Amino acid sequence: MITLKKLSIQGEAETRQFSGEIQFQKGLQIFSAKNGYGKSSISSGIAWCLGLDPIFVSRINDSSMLPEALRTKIRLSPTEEKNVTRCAITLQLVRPTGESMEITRSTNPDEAGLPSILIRGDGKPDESRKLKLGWGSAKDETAGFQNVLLNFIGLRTHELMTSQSKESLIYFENIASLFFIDQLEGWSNIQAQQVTKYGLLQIHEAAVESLLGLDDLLKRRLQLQRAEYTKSILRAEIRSIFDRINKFFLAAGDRFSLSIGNSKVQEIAEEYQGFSVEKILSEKINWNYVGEKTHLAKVMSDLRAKLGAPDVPEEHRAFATEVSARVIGLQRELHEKREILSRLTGQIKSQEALLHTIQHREHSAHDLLKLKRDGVGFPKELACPTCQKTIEPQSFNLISQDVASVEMYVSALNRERILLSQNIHNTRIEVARTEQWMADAQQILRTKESELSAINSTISGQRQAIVNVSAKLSEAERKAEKLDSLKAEIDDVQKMFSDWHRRASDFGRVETEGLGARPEAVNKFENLFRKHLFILKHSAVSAVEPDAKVHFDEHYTPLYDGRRLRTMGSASDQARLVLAYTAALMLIAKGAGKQENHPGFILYDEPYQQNPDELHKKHLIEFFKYLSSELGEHQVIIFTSFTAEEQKPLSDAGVRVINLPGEHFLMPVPVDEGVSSQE
Amino acid sequence: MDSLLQKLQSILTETNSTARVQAERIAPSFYYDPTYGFAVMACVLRIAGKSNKEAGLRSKLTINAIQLRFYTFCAIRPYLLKSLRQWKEKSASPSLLELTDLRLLPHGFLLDSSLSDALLFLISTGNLERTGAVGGSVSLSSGNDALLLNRLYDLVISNDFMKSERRAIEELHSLRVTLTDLGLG
Repeated sequence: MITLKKLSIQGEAETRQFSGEIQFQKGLQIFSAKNGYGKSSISSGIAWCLGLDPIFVSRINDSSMLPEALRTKIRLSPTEEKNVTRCAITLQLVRPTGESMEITRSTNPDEAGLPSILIRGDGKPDESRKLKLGWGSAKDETAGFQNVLLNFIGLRTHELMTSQSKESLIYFENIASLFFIDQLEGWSNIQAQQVTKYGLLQIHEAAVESLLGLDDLLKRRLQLQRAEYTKSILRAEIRSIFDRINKFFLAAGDRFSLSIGNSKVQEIAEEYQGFSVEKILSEKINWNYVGEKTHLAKVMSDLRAKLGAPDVPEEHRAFATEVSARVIGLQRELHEKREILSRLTGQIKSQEALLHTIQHREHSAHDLLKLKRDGVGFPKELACPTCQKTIEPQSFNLISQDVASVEMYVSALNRERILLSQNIHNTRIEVARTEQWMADAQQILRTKESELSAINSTISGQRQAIVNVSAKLSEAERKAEKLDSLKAEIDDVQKMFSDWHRRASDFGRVETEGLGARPEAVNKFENLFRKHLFILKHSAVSAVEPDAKVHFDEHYTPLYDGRRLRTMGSASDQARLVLAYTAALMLIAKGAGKQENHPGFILYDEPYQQNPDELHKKHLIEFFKYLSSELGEHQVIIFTSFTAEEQKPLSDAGVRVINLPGEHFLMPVPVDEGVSSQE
Repeated sequence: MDSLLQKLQSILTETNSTARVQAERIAPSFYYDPTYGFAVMACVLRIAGKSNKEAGLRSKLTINAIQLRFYTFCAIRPYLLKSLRQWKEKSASPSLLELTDLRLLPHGFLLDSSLSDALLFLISTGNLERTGAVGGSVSLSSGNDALLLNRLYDLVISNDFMKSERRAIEELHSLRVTLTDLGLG
């Protein structure tokens, strides 16, 4: 836990120096100043120093999230606008033990904007370092900014799987959307500025659990994500093993094939307990290695005996014409088969391209269905932001398809895909058969050609007979070799399957479903959230007492009697949801004792802009009074613009309201002071 | 739809044919559903949009409106990328280009009015703002104004939806399809 202590900005615009400084305290404090004072410079300066730029911009270390005055041009007087040549922002953080850290970060792109830190106190010598930002900075103990920051704040780190199937730490900016509420996007939704581009799976849920210090639950979540990943690997492996086995059926011209369908890994492991590749080949295509091997051995033995006999039998003596005719016939047939094969391969290629397109459409249509079922995407009507006139989508020829229509399209695609897959399967059988036939024919052709060549060089019937017998022997030997190589392949697939089955059975023993019972901290969080909505007078909940119909689903999304609370109430209720949620989260985390993983502060930028009417401002003041009394050592910093009248009830209730001094936050440094500081 | 089918039925009846309509075969393609179009557009903006440093507090993502339409059109139909890649390779050496190669460019997007309609709708509702002349660039609006596009993009990413569309956009982005390539520069 930390307290934000001070933010200071030092800059230079051409020849003029400018600066600004603001001090923060523990508890709730409201900083008030008119629009244009530079409150955004303060709040975005805090974000910049804490390395929260990824919640605003798409690139690392991009200072465009900061106001112009801190980067490009600053107006130092009504008539004097100057180019900013240098600007550095320093944020001081303090631990409850008194140890402090100063983070200084330049806004100048030439200086790369990398933060430098200065750690003081705790009896150790001052330590100053320049640090790295970005990917890997949470694990880099020597130069990683994230690592130093998380350690200083005392936050425990947690990991999640990413959509690229890797494991990654949850970064500081991933939890920031629950305590840094930016004046624009921050109020639009709970975790509106969650950084989703890192691809961390279930990050919205994990961010809440991280702040609540639910370490066991986060470990379980990661374990389930890993299990999900292992499951996908095991499914891909068994599919590949079955594909190899199916090739044996294809080569034998059999239409039978093994498939995993939609079965779970455990179900496949159970169904194929004791599965033998040889056995299924024997059942389906009469594969019999021992029988075939014995038969071939006998044939070869007989032929060898004939070759060793003093006189080769008469029936083998004249077969030159027969061999010649066979060679010509085989060559012609091979030519025809080559043409057929080329046509079939072309067909498969184009059918596969079409199948790929259909699969893409099917995935997209499923995704669209999920978006539609979530109720997002197409508003029934919207207002023009300028003239407030209602805009009807129909006037733009935009007709939203209903779920039933998309489902109908999906089922049509599904039918097409099945039909096409069957076609491809049948064509593949045809290709496999043709290839098998061609391979065999090539072998026979080679044998026959060599026989023919031997015959041509013979001079007697007896020698022709010897050539004939030896040709038959070499054919038998070729078949025996092929049989052995097939057996080796079957043994290899069997070994792969057995290995897969062992791992799949072990996987089946790991419990892969459910996160377990809901932790007590979540129940408390839910109760306090109800109370906050009641104090803030959210228009969709009971105005008499905290509404029991308000609850969280498994994603910690607030619901009202099963309906998303976000879809209820007025537009300004969105901001009330954010306020109630983030404040409840910090107060529950605070009560969690040693388990606390909250940084200990919340920054609300311009909450009043979200509550324009008098009644809601009144409720908001009530809420701040309540929050102020509950905070203890924790800190809530609010930037807004208050009138004296609005400040009075807060001041009367002991809430600190600070009117920011001067015309602007950033002011030119008096020339004398500048000179003396340079000296 | 009904009147067209009735017309078809009457033509078939005149020729002593019987019309039998299988409703499931005439389901309209979801390609033209606005939610789908908006979600893909949101992905195009986030992946291929340029960050505008002069935009003040928040970095705005900007893209040329025609490029936005073209990328969306191709991302919905990723099978077009193969031809587009060939076109780009050939157009690097214009002397290799032949008249028949023109078909490699997906011209269909010029006539696909659904994307123009979606774009106009997003501009009119404040989700996007024009940053140039008509037909020029558009930017993602700040905060609440771009609620629809931001929400859709968050859902797409957090649920890992539209993988092939996003892959296609990344490839299009790396191909650097310029307005000149589209004959509009």
